[in-house]
Amino acid sequence: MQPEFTTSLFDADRLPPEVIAEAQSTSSRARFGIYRNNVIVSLCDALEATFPRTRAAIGATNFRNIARVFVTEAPPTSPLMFHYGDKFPAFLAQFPPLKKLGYLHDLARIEYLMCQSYHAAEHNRPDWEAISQISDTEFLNSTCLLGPEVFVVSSPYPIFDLWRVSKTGGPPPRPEAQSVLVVRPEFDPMVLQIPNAMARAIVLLNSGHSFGETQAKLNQETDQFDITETVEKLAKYNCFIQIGAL
Amino acid sequence: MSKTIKTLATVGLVATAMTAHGSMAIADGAKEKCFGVSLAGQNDCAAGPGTSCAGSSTVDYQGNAWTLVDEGTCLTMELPAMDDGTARMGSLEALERDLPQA
Repeated sequence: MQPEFTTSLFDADRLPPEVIAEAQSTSSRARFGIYRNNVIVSLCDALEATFPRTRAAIGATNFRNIARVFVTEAPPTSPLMFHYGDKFPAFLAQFPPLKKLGYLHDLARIEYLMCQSYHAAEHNRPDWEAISQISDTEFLNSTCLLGPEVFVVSSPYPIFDLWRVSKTGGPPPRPEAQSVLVVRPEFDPMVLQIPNAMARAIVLLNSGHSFGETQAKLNQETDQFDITETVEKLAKYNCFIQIGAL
Repeated sequence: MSKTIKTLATVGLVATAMTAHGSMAIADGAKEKCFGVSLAGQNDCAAGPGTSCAGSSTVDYQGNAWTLVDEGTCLTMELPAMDDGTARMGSLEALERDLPQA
């Protein structure tokens, strides 16, 4: 019953589902049409709330039209509306009319992750007192756990500048690839620009590489990379849950 | 050669981590929620749909919408005067002014 109902709900060409009394009658079709529209509009509203800057970048009307297509193709899979839109960035990336706005899906990804960061669980912090007793070598040999509120987005576009400009204006984006780090040091998430190498380092750390291994891998690309700066950034914004066993 | 550089570079790793952890509040300055200062659609709520702050502010300087500012700057921020000429101020609590038309 539910699959049939859902299919009819998101496909305007279909008749109302059989479970509705006199599903074929004109009045049932009209009434189901109103219901269908209400559902779709409320889901478009949800996307607007999660993706305000993406909306600003392409304009309210365009956003609404695109959201409508997305909503009917990818209805929510969870009743928690702040999770809705996880597939929206990928949808924007392959949506032909947006081809010229190659950065848009990365902007949307940051917005989505910021919302997830906001709702991520709070976590313990490392035992800094114990860490102060270990040697630099021991530290380098350690892996770490990062908080569920920490995300990295790397883009071939100046994504941090575009993010900043979309809110506060200011100088135009610089023509370069940029990376951002989403953190939540206290109560509200923040978006920080980080060097692209640091972004790769954080991804490596997050996938279980030790600080030393990460340093070595990045040094294959550039001698300039120093893991200390990454550690400093992550420590400063309370991103660590655990370092080694501490 | 480059091995030496790497080892040197990581000296002080623990010390750096110790100094850095939790220093965000000191270095960047604590933030405070400032009501009535953000432009339409630019308030700082990242909670998303299904929450009380979904939808963002809809008018400039909306009194019940907040944005994070450096601690201590909310009340001194310069804002354009209101239509009737009275001064417009930020506030640490929600305001009744500049609300969207019902």
